[in-house]
Amino acid sequence: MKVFVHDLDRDIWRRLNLRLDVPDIVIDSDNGRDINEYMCECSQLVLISRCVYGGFSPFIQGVLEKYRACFGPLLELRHGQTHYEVRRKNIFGMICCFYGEDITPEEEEAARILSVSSGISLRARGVKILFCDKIEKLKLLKGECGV
Amino acid sequence: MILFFYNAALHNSSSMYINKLSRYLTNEEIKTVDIDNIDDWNTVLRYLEEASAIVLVSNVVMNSLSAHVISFLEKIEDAVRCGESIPGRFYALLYTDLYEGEQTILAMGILKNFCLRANILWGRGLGIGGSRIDRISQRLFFGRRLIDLNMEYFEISIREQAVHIREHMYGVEDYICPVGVTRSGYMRRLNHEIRKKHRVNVAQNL
Repeated sequence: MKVFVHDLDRDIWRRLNLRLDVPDIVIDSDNGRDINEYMCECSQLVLISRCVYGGFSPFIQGVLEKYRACFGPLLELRHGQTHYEVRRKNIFGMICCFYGEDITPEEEEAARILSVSSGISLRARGVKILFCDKIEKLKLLKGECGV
Repeated sequence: MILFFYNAALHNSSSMYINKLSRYLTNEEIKTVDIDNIDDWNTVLRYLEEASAIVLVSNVVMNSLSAHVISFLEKIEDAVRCGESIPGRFYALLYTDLYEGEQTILAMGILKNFCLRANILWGRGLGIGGSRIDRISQRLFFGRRLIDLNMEYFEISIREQAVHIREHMYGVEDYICPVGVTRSGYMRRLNHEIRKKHRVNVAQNL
């Protein structure tokens, strides 16, 4: 099951015309679904976010914060650093796709590192990072996600 | 005037850090704004125009600033685009429950990128790790009271940050972690306290 979290307008999302399978889940600001319910069965997490100062947009960050809240307060050591203990057993791949017309090199670098760090925090198998200067280029996702 | 922005809803440590910074800024007029409860945006804009230094005190969630803070920064950038001028330098005090202060580096980078976009002069950042040490500081750790070791670990850095703010100076970022307790010791004690608290809660609800 793939979980898509995006902050795109409904029209733009429709125009992308991604061919989703039946179990795939789309989380956006309109449907207000909770990511926690789906992460246990998720095989691929796709975050499509506007690049805001080299980070996720407030909506995507809000979704990640809600998910972080269910990690539990315990800490564990991972890659030589303390992280919150993740109780979920399944392993998923993560794709972070940032869009924005004037992303500076510093912002791109920050967004790349943030994506990898988020992958470590969420215990993802691997992280793929894409940047699109135009929304039309988001169609590249089709190849990356197999949809 | 020194303007503090803080995020009270997420963590009440913000107020504690503001109080500690304020102790070293006695001759300055201080205004504080809670990012989650802004009633009058015009007042905030007036403060931004008048402030000689702007200080953001916030915790770090998932390696980044919280969604509320990012939205707030975007609003400031929009105001600048509409002709607002912000002469004060921007300082940050970010903290995390995790042991390593370096885990605030990414959030600090986001703030620097914001300053570039909003045409605000960057001052200095301080990243504090192990912000939940107060929960375990009253306990004995190998026969020593942690309180003697802990309280100073961020006091000196906060004082240094306050000097930078007061003098409106630029400085290199500082990232600190608890002194006197190891990474695994912090983790073990904190997990122990959490489990104990959980057991007490369960017992009380039986």
